[in-house]
Amino acid sequence: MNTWSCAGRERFLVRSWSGEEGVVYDTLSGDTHLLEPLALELLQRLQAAAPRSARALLDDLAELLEDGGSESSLAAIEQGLESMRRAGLVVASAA
Amino acid sequence: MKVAQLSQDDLARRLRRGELLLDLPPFVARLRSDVASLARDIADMYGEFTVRPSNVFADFSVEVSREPGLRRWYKPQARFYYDGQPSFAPLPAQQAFPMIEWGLNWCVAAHAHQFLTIHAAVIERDGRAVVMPAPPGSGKSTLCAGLIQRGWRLLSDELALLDMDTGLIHGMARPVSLKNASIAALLDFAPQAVMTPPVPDTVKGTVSLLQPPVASVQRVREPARAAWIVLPSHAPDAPPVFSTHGKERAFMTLAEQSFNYDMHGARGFEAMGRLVDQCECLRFHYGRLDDAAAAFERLAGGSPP
Repeated sequence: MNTWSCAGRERFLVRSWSGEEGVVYDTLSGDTHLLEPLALELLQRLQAAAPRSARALLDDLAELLEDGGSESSLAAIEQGLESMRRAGLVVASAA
Repeated sequence: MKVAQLSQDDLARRLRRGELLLDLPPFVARLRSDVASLARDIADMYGEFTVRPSNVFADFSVEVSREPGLRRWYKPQARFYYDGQPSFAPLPAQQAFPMIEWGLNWCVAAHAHQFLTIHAAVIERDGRAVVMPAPPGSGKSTLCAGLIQRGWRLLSDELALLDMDTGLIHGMARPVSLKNASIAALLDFAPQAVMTPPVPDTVKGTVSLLQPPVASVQRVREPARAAWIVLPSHAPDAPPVFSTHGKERAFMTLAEQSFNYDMHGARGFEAMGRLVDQCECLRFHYGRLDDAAAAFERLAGGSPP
């Protein structure tokens, strides 16, 4: 199982007006990303706290998720993390 | 002195000698051309603009000159030059004025990095500007052309120049470029509008330029603060509908439509963020200019869209 961390705590500038989606500027690459609500939540949690697994993130987010944290939510979290890993926003390391 | 105060001969001579300096605040452009028809188009479109002395500094020196050789007589072509260097492929000489306009847009987009430059139309009413970023085909220029016939001030139909320190937007109030069906639509909506003769067979189809309103040119040195970001779209006979657009998505559209957002790094991100902060972000779908003008009148009047 992978442990996920933010690719740099001071590296990203984030703006969100809706409190759901957000735009993220990567000061290292110069890229700007539009993040869906779940991805934004994951990034901000990883920015604020220690590296953790997708399942630990699922537990953190359980109260926010409509289904309270089912396997399908876990899959959505893993998908969101993978997508952010490809964008260079988060890093995965083997636990 | 204004362009309109020059005789046609004087204008043509200055143009041939490269001594026509147009004040296009916040820039000055030096124009040179040996294409005779260009003097008429410049007189028609830039009549209210100020002519600067020929010895002052010009931000951009541009030229449209006829290609040499047989081309001078057989299907004559002309080429755009920037600072004396040929830029872009030659085009039919009858496209000289659109070529100058496209070339000036390119000069600003490619060089004016003191601004955050966005491909967007900007109009203003009562001190509040509407920024309309959109790709070609969205009806942006048509909408802009129509609204400036109904009391909105023209800043630009193509380039929003955002001062990243003040947050104010500058425009040059230059002619509005219309193409294909938009030309007839605008003339149907505003028969008094002054436009250049349509130029067919350009890369954009048939093109005609619309003279900017005198009142807009007189206020060309006044930047404006944006209050709305509006993403237009057009379909024939569609009813006019404003709808809310997420600020995050508006931000991304502005960034995508910017010529130099990437160049400005974090400063550009923060400046774009402040622009979005201060604006209501909307989509606007429309079919007819009459309907659009009425809808924007309500918007300016404070009615919720």
